Amino acid sequence: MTRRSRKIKTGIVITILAVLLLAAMFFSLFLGSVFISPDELWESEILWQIRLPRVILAALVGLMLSISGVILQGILRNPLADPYILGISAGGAVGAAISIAIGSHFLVLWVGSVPVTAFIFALLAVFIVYELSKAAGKTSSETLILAGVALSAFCAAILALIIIMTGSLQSIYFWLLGSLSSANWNNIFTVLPAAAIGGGVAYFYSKELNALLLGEEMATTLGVDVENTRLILIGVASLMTAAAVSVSGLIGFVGLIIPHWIRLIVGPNHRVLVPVTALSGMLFMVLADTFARTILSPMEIPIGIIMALVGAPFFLYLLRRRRLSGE
Amino acid sequence: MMRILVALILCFFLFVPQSIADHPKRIVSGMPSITEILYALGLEDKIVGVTTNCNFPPQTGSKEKIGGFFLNLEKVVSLDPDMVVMLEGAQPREVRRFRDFGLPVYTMDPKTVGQVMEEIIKLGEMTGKRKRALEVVDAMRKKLELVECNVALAEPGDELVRVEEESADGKTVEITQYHVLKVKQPQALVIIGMNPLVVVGGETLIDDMLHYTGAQNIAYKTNAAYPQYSFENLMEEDPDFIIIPDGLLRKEEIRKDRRWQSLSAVKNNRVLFVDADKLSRPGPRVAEVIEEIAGFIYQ
Amino acid sequence: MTVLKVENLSCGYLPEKPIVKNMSFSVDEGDFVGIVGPNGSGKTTLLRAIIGLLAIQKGEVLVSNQRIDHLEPREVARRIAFVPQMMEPVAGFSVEELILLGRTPYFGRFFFETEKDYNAVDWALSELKIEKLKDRPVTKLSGGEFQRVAIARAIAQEPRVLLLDEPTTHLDLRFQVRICKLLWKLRKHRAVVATFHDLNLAARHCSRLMLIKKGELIAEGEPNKVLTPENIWKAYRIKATVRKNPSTKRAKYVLLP
Repeated sequence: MTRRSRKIKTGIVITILAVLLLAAMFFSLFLGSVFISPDELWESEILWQIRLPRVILAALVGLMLSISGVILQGILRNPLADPYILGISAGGAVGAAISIAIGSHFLVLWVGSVPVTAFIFALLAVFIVYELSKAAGKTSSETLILAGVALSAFCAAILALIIIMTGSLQSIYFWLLGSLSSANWNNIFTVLPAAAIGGGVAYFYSKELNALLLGEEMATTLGVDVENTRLILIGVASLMTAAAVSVSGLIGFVGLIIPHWIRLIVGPNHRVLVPVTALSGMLFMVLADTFARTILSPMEIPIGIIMALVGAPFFLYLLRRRRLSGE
Repeated sequence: MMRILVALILCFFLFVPQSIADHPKRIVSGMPSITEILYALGLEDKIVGVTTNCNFPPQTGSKEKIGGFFLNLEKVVSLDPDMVVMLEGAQPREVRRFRDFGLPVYTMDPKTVGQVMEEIIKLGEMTGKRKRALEVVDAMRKKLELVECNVALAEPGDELVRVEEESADGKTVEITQYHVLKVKQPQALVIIGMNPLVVVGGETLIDDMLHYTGAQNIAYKTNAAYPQYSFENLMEEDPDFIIIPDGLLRKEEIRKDRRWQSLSAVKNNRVLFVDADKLSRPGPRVAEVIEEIAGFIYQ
Repeated sequence: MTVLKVENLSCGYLPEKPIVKNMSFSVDEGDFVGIVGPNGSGKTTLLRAIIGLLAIQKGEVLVSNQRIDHLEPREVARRIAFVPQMMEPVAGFSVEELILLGRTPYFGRFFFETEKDYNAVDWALSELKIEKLKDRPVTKLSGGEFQRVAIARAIAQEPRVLLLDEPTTHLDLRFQVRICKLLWKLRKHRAVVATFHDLNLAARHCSRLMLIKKGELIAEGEPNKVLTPENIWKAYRIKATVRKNPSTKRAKYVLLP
């Protein structure tokens, strides 16, 4: 494919995805357990205060989780990495659960105590993983992943301990299963900065992410400050993960499936991969959440369940394909 | 001039008290126990939404549903309620979410039988059904008093303690009351989860219900409300009575399992299966369960 | 003109056990230097220290008269390019996209490839005569083709010094010779430094040889002067005779029976 046709292809993919995303967001506004007639559109509180924030939040969470996945896969040079493997999500969930359990109420700017605590714990989780893997000298991806697995198990244990000690079963289910039902405009303003910073940094660090495709040493010989890049990108990934976890609980597979899938379509160039993944993550999440809140209406299915139901088989299929094609 | 003023004052007195006494007309219930209370208060016409778990009284089936374990905010909003009644302790997340949205949420969080009765009266006052609420609570109280009387009846081996007071002149001693001191209080355990074994701990509504029956909850000392319990512990403590909600485990399972057979409650056929809904819902039917349990213990 | 200068360089993975010991040499523009020596003599370690993958313990490395440890990583990358023994083919990239990665040190934070970068890629493609491969997926290349793509990527960096770690190891005889001829061409306008296992191959194509053993330079200079029976004995403990290749007049060692 020539340069020109490659650019045209990228343009077409992005345009199609953007149109699909807008269409999905628009139509999902009119889907739900309550029918909204066209003449009450402008006064409808349900539309403007419940569905619109929810659709927007779904898109933001989808963006943050999928971009976190792209970043971590690029940094760790492991296509199976995502926020969960590094223990960032679990760390964030522990922070959020602790904040709820002790009933702390404070504000940082306009952000409430739960997301702030989630972010602090997510960063703490990354820091611990990073330091653990660094103890052996220069950070290598394998030790990073192993340290993350250990930390995930540790965080899961702490989360379970908090569940046993405090009785609030419903909150715990929310954290473990993941749901966008708490969407409101405040939540959107809470996570919007994280999404903007995360998306921007991921895009403007695409040359570093591309160079890292050749390996850490080759990236160094191409003038990339690998250590620094890794710190910034992992920090940004944990910021986005914590923001997503604090408003929607643990939603898995988005950060794993979407980048994987998009890489098969547009290739590994992060200049293209980052924006296309962002759009696809948003689209996927909006569709999944619309499904979650309408299929058993008026009951809602926690979206984490849907993600696992769709994501796990797809992931297994990908694994099998990779094995067969020997990639 | 004077007339206008009088007319204004009249208007004030005619309309304002009415608006103050304006009781909710569209009530949404966020929990099965609350639905039971609302029906007991005779508010059937005012209820516009219940959960899919609400099954008592049977008429609730025809009401609009607002979701099950997780509630659907937009459905609730679409019902345009002027009162949403919820359980603070059981659904804190939904309560916060609904409050944040500006819904008129009213919560209760009864942890004792006494508090259940207080809440019924409070809700009755708020909905203009004070009289009905007092009747409901009165009926409950009557049942409880009867239970307490039965419990108080001395059995052979129990001690009677005389409560003595000096008479007014200070010379003679008057016996004012007898207290029945059970030499051995019946030991009971309420199991609410199997594999792992989860039981009712202290400072819970069900624990308080056991107090009325004169039995002691062997798990009252645990720090959690609903602690996980080891079977070893259960065999060691060996309660006289075991109470299990219907559907948690089948009688055959107990019959086949050697561990269960070693418990004296099982050997003496002192395992009570009670209606799970009645047992777990802090509503008017708690008195019925207390009656049922006491009846079983002192049969 | 000297483009690469190494002075009293010591480096290694453990501070108390340097692998390269107190080494000094310089490379001029137009040189094609072959570094030879037995396994574990420190050939690769030396290259890694020059490119900055390994911390320098003592001494200094200068490129165009500037110490590399005083330069930004990006500035180093614009002066020295490195072709590793084995580069991973990135699944999903075309040859052109892979070579474009070589332009990384020239990209800004907010702006990406320009016409200039594409020109550099085209030039690298033509230097290595692989214009036809341009749009091929990198996973569908033969070993020799991929090695040329890897070198083209380094050339796109427009380096003053091109370092290659055993560029011929995984190739068959035909490609070994082809790559060496290419490197001979590429030495113009820059310096090429490569490690070799095959003494004859190095002697035949390089303008200069450096024979190292246990991190120390045993002999340096024209291939004919470095490749002597004495030096081979010193480095490899092997008895060999050296004969001239009749066509190239270059030294060629022959193992004694």
